[in-house]
Amino acid sequence: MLRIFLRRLLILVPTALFGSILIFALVQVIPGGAAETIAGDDSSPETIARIRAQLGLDRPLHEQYVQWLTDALQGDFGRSLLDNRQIGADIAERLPHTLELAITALVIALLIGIPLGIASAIYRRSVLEGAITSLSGLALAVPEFWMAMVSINLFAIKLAWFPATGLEPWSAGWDNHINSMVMPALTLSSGAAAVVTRFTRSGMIGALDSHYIRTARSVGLSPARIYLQFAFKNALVPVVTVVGIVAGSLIGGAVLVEQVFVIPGLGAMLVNGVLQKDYPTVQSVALVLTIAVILINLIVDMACLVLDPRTRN
Amino acid sequence: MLVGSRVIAIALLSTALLQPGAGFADARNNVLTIGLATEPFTLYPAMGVGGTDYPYLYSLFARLLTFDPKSLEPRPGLAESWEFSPDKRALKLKLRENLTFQDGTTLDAEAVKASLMNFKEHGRVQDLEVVEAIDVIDPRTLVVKLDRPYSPMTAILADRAGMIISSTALKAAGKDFDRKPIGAGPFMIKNWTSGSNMELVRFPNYYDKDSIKLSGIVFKFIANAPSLASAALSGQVDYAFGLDPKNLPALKANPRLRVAIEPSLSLNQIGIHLGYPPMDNVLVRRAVSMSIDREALRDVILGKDVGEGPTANMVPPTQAFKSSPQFPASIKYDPAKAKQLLAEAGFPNGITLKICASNGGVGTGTDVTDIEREQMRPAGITLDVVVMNSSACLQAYNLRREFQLWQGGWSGRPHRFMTYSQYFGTNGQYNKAKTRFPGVDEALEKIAATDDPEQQESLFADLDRIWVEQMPVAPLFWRPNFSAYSSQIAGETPNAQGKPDPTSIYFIANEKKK
Amino acid sequence: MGNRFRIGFHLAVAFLTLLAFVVVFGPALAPYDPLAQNLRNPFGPPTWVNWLGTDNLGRDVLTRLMIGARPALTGVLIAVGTAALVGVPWGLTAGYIGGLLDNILMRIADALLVFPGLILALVLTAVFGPSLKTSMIAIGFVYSPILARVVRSGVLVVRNRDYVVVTRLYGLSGWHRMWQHVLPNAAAPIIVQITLLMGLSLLAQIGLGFLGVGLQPPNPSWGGALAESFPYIIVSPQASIVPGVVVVLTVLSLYRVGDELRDRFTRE
Repeated sequence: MLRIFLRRLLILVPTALFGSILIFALVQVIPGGAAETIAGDDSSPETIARIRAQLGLDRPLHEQYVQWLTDALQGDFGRSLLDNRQIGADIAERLPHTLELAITALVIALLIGIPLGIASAIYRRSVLEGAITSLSGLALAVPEFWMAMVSINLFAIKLAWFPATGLEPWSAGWDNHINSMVMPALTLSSGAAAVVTRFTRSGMIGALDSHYIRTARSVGLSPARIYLQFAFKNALVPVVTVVGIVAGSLIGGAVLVEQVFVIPGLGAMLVNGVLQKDYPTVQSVALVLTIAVILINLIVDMACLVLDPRTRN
Repeated sequence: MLVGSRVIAIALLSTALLQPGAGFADARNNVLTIGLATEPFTLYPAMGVGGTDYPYLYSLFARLLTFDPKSLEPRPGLAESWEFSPDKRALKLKLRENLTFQDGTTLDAEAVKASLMNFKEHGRVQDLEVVEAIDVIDPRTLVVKLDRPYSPMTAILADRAGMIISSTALKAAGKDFDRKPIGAGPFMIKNWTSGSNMELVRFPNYYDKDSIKLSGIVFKFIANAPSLASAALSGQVDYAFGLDPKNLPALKANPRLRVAIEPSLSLNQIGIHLGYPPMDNVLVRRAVSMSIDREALRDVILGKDVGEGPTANMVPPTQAFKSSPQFPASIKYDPAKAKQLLAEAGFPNGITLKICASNGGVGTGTDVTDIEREQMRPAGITLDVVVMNSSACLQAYNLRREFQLWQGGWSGRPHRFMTYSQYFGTNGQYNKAKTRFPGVDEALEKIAATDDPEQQESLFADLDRIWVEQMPVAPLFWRPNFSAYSSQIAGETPNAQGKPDPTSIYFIANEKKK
Repeated sequence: MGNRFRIGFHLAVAFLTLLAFVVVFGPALAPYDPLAQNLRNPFGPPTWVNWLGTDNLGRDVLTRLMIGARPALTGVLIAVGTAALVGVPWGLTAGYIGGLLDNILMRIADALLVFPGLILALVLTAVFGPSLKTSMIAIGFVYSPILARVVRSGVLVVRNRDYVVVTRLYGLSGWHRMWQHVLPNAAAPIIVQITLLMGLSLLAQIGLGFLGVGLQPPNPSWGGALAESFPYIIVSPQASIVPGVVVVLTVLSLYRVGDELRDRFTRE
């Protein structure tokens, strides 16, 4: 087990490093960077050079990269160009919100997608399957933030069932917190739920058609037992795989949903950083989000191995 | 089969049945929930510059002087009385008895001096630059000595500079003072979650505690207009401030809300960077000003005939401080004339100007620039619009000189004099290029040396006339404040400055019980 | 059931053809100037004058949708083109040459697959400034490993078939073989994947436009139209419906065509 874990890590660590290099390089490439911004109006080249030296920007690129990375791994992400606050502190405050949103959306996607996928596999060529397939196709085609806008209008403004905005923190009461989470998480989960449905369906069909299921059926095992014990477990493997793929799009989707629902998460921080050209913030948040996605993939890979030994080779 | 989905559906319905929109709005605990669009950068009065910070600042800090909400005349605050010397170069203040800060330390003349000197030395806004020295006569009396006659000082001491902070707390807290300030105001900071909310609790030893009915305030930061309006509609907040006027009809239609259009000194404007050619050319500035149809803009952004109207000057006609009435409406939309002026200035083929805009405010974003672009086209002006966050915009415009124009607003100053001196005076902080406008500095000096209202009026009228000729800034239209109050609360005291002080609000039901 | 699905396919093709037509002839066909404002008629309802009504500045919605189709589809083509330019040679090389190079290339592909594409697009925007081209190239780059994998599988299937072996016997050069024989036969799954990527790119583009990092105003864009309608959602909820529906229909059509093509190719 450990060996396999290490092997997987061996693949993902270079991914993370590659990602960090990409993010770092992209931002350093720009002309008129941090030093010019801090120096401000009408600064002489001498002042800018002095600030560059202070920030360590005159050192060779690979040295800067290593410094940046080691600092980041210790939690020091530097300061925002805009308000000079510690980026690390803001990230620590906002990361839980984004994670909570994405993970809740993932859980909802699984809770909706797996049953629907199984149903559409078992009741193949029925109206139910047609409906589920159409619905999942629709969910894949709808932009999440548009769905968010429409549902705000309907459920928050017209019907006043849920708050239109923001995340109530836990301190406001767990019921208020959950109430404010419902719409954002549901809208974010729609695309992922559709993907999970489809993958579960094809995994289930594959399992149901497989040789040993037919054998089990001919031997006379009850359908329920067949479905639950054999087919379901095997159908789960592609699902677990797809969670890894879906994780990336959930994080991306969270960025959009956070804008619409005014949730103080990392997505909002990233977008604001981009619009304000606050490069240190953009670098840091992009790095953290990428690593989050990679970690989710790692966990998913591990879950895959635990669930089905056959994937170990 | 659909067990999973059924469980979810039931869970959803039950959360929906939990009081929709209860949130913090909590009449039983006497805590007021206020929704607003902007979160402050800092709560340390000397370090902040935002005109939108005032609801927070008024709640946390007591000022030396206050002002009458309608007339803006100075009123007692921490100082129970004050007196100018005859030559207006010294202001003697007498403090009330037994004043304390929120951390228990004594608030006496020494503490006031420390706070004022701190503001003078470190403050981002140079309101106290005319202060020469401060003499402490006894624990309750101090004299502020000025380097020139300066009657607006009473207004300044009713603003940020007069918000007295505990210097001992400042020393102890260092950088944390931005987030955990100690003042002497009616409420103390309990908690501040960036991007989410700020909680304040009552300060039991506030000097005017009997006038404060609430036991706490919660500010919720709601940055986009439809969300703020729906927070008001659904009862998530008791008081929503800074609403987008587009949503007023929906708010008015809700029986649980009182909608108010409140006076303010605010206006929407196009900032002009005098140090970025060709904006240093008065003909170009006048051309820009004439190529905008202010009334059409106002109608679209605020609604037809809402507010005091289009303007070419900076001080609204509603209050004691008026710009001379003949000037505000004097600039008409005349693109042909603008084109002519541009040609005279050396741009016969038109000109491209870069402007920074930010979405999220009322009339500072692409909703306005899209219209302006079309309005300016026949005058030969091409607008190159870049959208940024509002603070980034200001930085890029002020510090990095990336834009000739800035789509923004002006929230007004406690004394009309300050608006003129800051924009028009040669050393004004918004006069980036230190342009010397003829006759302005002299007029400003004379105004500062007198507090005879008639004399001031005629001097201000001169300034207004020069303003319209020189156009250091292109004001667009007056913008009132749009607020919505739950029918459960009362006691709000909107003031002519348009910077609300929420501390007088109370819950009707709770007061009746007493 | 089969019948229902065929209808869907035909509708999808019809819609896409209409869209292509609008993209090519749009500016000539559009009834009004997309920038022409009529401030006295904001959010006008659909009338004979404005078939889909007007937006917040009184501009004709139908015109702006039609003109906005061009950058929408241009963006998609840039994204898919980038993905193809990067992904196809990648997959071809890996599949054809095999061995260690294949292993390395595919490991890199796995790594890149994990990347959150929107994040990369946002970073690039911070660096190069907001523009359609930048964001779509970023998206295309992020999707390229998907295409690479598909290309590689296609190559692997075809590689050992008879005619390839025969041509090898005849001594034709490797590249020649790849172009003339391997690639055309592996084309089917690639085409299917491309339709899927087109849908995904459009959604990504709309998302980026909504955030304000795509095509800048006042140029009409579908994402921008959604962004502009959001502040007015209380006043005029219907303003967000029309652009949203157009996007959904486009993506649905693309997916539907892709589904049908995949079914056809697997049947062969």
